[in-house]
Formats: sequence, structure tokens, C-alpha cells
Amino acid sequence: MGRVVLILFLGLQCLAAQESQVPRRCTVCHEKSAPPLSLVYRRYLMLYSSKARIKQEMVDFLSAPSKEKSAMPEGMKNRFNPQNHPAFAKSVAKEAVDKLIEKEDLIPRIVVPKD
Amino acid sequence: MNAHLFESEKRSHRRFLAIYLVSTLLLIGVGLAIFYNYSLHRIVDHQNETLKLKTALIRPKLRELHTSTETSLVYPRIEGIRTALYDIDRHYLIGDFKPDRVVWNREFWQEDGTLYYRDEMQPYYLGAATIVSAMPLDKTPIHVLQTKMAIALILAAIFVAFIARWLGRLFLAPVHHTIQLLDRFIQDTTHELNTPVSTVLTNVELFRSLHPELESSEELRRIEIASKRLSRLYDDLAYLQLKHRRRRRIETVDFRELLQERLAYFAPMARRREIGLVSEILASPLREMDREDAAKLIDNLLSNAIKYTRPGGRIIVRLDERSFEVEDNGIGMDARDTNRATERFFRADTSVGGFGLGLNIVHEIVDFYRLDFEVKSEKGVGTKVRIVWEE
Repeated sequence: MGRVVLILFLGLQCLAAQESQVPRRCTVCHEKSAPPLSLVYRRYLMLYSSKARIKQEMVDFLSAPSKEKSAMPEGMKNRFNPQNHPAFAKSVAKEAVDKLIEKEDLIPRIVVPKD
Repeated sequence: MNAHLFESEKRSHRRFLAIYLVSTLLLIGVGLAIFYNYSLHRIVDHQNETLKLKTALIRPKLRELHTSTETSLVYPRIEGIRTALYDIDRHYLIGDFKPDRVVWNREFWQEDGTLYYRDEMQPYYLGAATIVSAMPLDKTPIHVLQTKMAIALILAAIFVAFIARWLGRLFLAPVHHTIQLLDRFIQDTTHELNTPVSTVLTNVELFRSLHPELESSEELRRIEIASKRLSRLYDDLAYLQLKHRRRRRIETVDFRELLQERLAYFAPMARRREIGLVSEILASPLREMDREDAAKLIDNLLSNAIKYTRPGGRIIVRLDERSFEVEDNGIGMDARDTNRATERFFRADTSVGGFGLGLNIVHEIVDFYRLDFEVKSEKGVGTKVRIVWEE
């Protein structure tokens, strides 16, 4: 019985780890040492406007990080060295960016007051 | 300038007024239309500028929202306008309205009484690359402008009418003066003609009674015919000049008797020109008329028929209870000349003597007594003039 419970627990842990794999990988740094993801998203939003373009730019950076590809301000680039950012496969990067956009999207949070 | 104008002058005056008024009002109309269009654009431009200024107020508010850390954000509203945000790929993001259509190649446009403005944003706060704003077009200044334009047009029309009247009289003054001189000349000539013509005619009669052996003298008959022609000319001129001042004596006229008398008067003239004068008198109508008018009516129709019929031709005079008709097989007239036949001084053939007064006098008389009057003519075939008394 104890063995069954352990297997179930480990299996669920594994599934959970699969679902939140990319964000957790991101948040590990972006919540502690790197700029917060919400800040990064707003920076990209301000520069590229549409979700499609933001996604394209972010995936481009994540698949081969470099100082030139980063959209962050110069001061941050100098401080956080974007070339040290881990690289991800494009598919992984796309998935992570989709989740980021979904989470940080500002529009659903805006309420339009009635007349 | 005298207020009394001759008919031809009145006609010229009316034509001048019509041409002047139409052309001037057309010119003023075009000017006002251009001005109206310009003013309308200015009004719309002014309102567009207001829309633009108000739209600019949303930018700092969007920036605030973009940087806000609040979990719930409130869309900024600008008083008097509505706004909508679009991303760089022209996807609608959010707004307090959603336009049915955005004209992406224009900064301002107008649709169904609403003004629209499209503004590009950089940087893209909240991802908005374009702000589309809208505001209802305020029509009050347009209505004020339309009222002013209408008043201006009416005042211009009144002013132009006065100017036209004054100019018309000014331009006609020399013509009027010339016509007056001519008229006075005709009056004087007519007056001077009376005595010698009467003298000649009286003396012909006297000569005949004193010398019965010369009754059939050709020379004497020529003098008589020529004098009668002069006498009729005098009568016609005098009639036209005095027509407004002459007092008519309306009496019962035996038209048959009068017609026979006038036929006898014209018979020598017709004979001399070898024209057959046939009368078909079928009734003895009694008409309430001035005798002189009735005589003039007959004389002028007979005189014209004799004048415009070639030697060897014939003239048929018909009279029945309701109508009087003179038909000849003379030179005739085409349709255009037939229409002008009753105009004063109009002559179908200028090689024939006369002043073109005959049918004009007939027309005056017919108008006065409200008779039906019909001229049928065909060039080279002849002319038929018919006068019908109403039932």
C-alpha cells in the first residue's frame, strides 16, 4: 500500500513538473536575480505591440540569447548579461512565451467603465 | 427716363433683366457655394482639431496604466469623445467603443454625422499602436452658416434686382430717346399728311362732278387710288397712335352692309391689279362694335390680300353668321413668318409697299373684342385669315 501511494505521489509530481516546467525554469531566475517577468513582458509589449510580434522576438532571443537580441534597456543588459541567459529549443521557448503572454496580458485586467 | 415704355422696349428690358439676373445670380451662387464649402471645411477642421487635442489627453493615462502594478485597471475616459485602441497588426484591443470601420489611410474621416480621428502611438503603451477616437459632429455652426448663406443670397438677389432695373433703364435711355424722336416724327408726319390727302381726295371728287366727261379717265383713277392708299396709311398711323386715347362708340354694326361698302371701296384697286375679288356673303350678322374698328378690320385684311396677291390671282371673302374670312392665292408665308405676321412693322415681302401695320391693327382689334383669330399660310400657295365671333 505504501509503495502504491509513493508511486502515485511521484507520478503526480512528475506531471506537475511537466506542466509548469518552462515557467518554473524561467521564474527560478526572474523572481530572484533577473528582472521580473511582468517587467520583461511590459517592456516587449511597449516595443512590439502585438502578441505575435512579442512572441517572435522573445522566441528569437530565447533560442539564441545575445545582447543584441535582447529588448531590455542598456543598463539592464550591462547588469544582467543576456548572453548568459540559457538557450532553449524553439518549441520549448514558444510554449514558455505563450504561457508568459497568457499570464501577463494586461488587456483582460482593464475594466471599461460604463456610461 | 419716362416710366412709359414702348412694347419693344419692354421686351428688350425684360430680356436684359432676365439675362442680367440669371447670370449675376449664377455668379453669386457659385461664389456663395465656394464660400459655403470653405466655411464648412473650416467648421469641420476646427472640430477635428478639438478631437485631436482631446485624443492627446489619453496618452499619459495609457502610460500610467502600462506601468501600474494594480491587479485591476480602469480604462481612461475622455469627456466628449470615445476612444479605441488597436495593436500594430490592427487588431482591436480595448476601448469605450468599437468603430464599425477604420480608414487606415486617413487621419480624419466622417461617417454618419460622426468625426473620427486616427493617431499613431509610439511607444506602444498597453500594446496600442493606434488610437481611434470619435466625436459627434456639432451641426449648430453649420445651421448658423446655412441661415447666413440663405440671408446673403436673398439680400444679393434683392440688390441685384435693383441694380438690374437701374442698369436696364440706363441702357435703354438712348434707345428710348431715339424711339421717342421717331414716334414724334411719325406723329408730326401723320398730322401733316392729313390735310393734303384730304384735299386731293376732295378735289378728285369735285373734279369728277365738274367734268363728267373725264369720269373714265385712267389718270384720274390712278390719282384716286394713290390718294386712297395715302389716306389709309394715314388712318392706320393715326389709329395706332390714338388707340389708347380714342373713345370707342360701341353700336350695332350690320357687318354685311359694311363689308359690301368696303368691297366697293377696294374693287377699283383689285381691278387695276387684275385680281378677282369674289365675295361669298351668306348671312347678315349684327355685331356690337365700334364702326371704325369694324371697318379697319375689313380694310386691313382686304388691303393685305390685294397687296400680296399677284396680278391674275383671286381673293375670296366669306361671311357667315359666326365668321369672317379672307383667302387669297398670293405669295403666302412660311411658318416662321406666319408666327410673326401680327408684329408691328413686319412685312412678308419688303419689295411690296406698306409699313407692316395691317395685321398688327387687326390683332389689336381682335384682342380688344376677344375674337378668335387664325392665320393659315403656305409659301407660294396663299394665305387665309379667319375671324370667329364666340357664341
